[in-house]
Amino acid sequence: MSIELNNVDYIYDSGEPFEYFALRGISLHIDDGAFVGVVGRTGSGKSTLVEHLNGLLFSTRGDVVVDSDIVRNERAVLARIRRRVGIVFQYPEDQFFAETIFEEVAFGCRNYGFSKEQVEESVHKAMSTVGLDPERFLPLSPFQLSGGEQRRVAIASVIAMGQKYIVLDEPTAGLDSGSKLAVLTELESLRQTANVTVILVSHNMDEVAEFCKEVVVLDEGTVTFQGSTDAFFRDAELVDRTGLELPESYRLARALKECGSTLAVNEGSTDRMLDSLRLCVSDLGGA
Amino acid sequence: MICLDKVSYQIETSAGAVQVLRDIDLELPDGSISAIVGPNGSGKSTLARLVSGLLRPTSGSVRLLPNGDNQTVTNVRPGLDVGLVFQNPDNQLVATTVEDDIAFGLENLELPHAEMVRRVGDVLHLLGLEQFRDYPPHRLSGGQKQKVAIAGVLAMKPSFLILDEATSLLDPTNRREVMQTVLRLNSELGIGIVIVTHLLDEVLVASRVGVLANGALAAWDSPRAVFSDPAVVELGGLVLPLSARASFLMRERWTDFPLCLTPEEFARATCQLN
Repeated sequence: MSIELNNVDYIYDSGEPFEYFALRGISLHIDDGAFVGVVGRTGSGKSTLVEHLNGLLFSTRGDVVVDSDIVRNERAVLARIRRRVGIVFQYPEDQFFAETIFEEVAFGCRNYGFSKEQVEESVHKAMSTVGLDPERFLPLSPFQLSGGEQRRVAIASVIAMGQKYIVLDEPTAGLDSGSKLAVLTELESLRQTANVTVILVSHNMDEVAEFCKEVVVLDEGTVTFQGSTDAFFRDAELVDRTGLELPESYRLARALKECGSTLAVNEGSTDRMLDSLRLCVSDLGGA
Repeated sequence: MICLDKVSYQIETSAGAVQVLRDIDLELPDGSISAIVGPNGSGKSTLARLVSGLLRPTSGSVRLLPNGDNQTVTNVRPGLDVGLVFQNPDNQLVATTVEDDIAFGLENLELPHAEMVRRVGDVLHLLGLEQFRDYPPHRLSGGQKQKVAIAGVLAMKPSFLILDEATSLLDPTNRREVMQTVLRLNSELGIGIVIVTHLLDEVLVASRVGVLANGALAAWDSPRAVFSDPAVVELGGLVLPLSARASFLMRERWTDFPLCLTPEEFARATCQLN
């Protein structure tokens, strides 16, 4: 089971004088249980792309296939697809409406006909997943929280529905570094324990390098790279051309090489880099 | 200089009074660059609003002291002395053209028309936005919108500019562009800058960093000193940059290895070992 896009075009104002290709010839394959990053500069089509994944937008040409359903504007199909694909939008906290955080997070679950006990359980679990103590926060109003706490409640309200595919559009913008790491770590453990597929739209290359095994790079509505995150960041020239930045571990490896250091470190995740550095240091010490 | 003296702020909720900030003492010298960091909910945005005069402290004072002059003390006038730029530019652009948007604050000052035109022209030029003068702001990119927001604030001729996570919704290219603009305003016009941020590279441009935790100031020091103290790093909801963690690892063998905050610094320090 997977998400697949076959040669997808999306044209805003199609047929009008100002028609505009937001997506052009996109073909993608996202496996079950993957942690995929979607990156690219502002206006490259990231948000348009993810809105195709649960039928908020329909392709002008080409098919979007979720598991075996082709996404199309039919009630039954959309109901099936939206039961499987959840999206956390940018500024999700702008959509708050409920009087308590419990009601806010429970809303989606109730719409899907969860029993009272299931709602309780899902809401508590989702709150813990985003690092907010359910006992303390659930009775509060979502409007009395800080921006970062609101963001986490919004993420919890999607996670609570227990969908197979979770798409997050810039979920960590505005979160403090500790919360950023906590939210992404929890998503990773959700992926491992519940085989949830995580699709992360992000401008933060450090978190992409840390958490996403694969990456889809968009530029002006086309895919300029799809494959291993490591292979992408090793191509510094491509990274620059697509308007992105190198993550810190790749910058570090490059800076060491450029100044002719004998320390050779591995790029990639923080742990990978620090482990390799630790080895280098102990080797040097022994010499 | 902006001088905060024992500033506390509390809000009344249905559950009783909540102390958002307590006993904050800060001095922000004219022309300085400072950063404010802290976990979500620590009171950063409240502090930004207090410094800009949008909120009044429950107790304590926020005052403006001309440099080297301890006699003339005035309260901060909201919108005039200290300009505040928020996170989401879409929430602070109000008019149908860039020019009108920038003029909005000035109109409220009832300035003579010629003076308004002059000031709008000046800031458009200063921020390189002249070609967008007649543009609808919503057609601009995020970085350009944020520059328009900054322009609107600058037209009021503030002596300080506070950026409340003003770049956190921008992509790296736009973010760099906005930050370069802000640094230029500091170096060319001597405008004092306060950056409320979670982003490391924005912390590193500051000469002093205030770390807020649970409504109190846990540290007020140079970026290097802040990152040297693991307790402060944790309190501030910060994560040590990879280069700093690598530096600590190097210290296990070379005890005097410096604390490096960027990959380039780390590479230089490493090569000096060999």
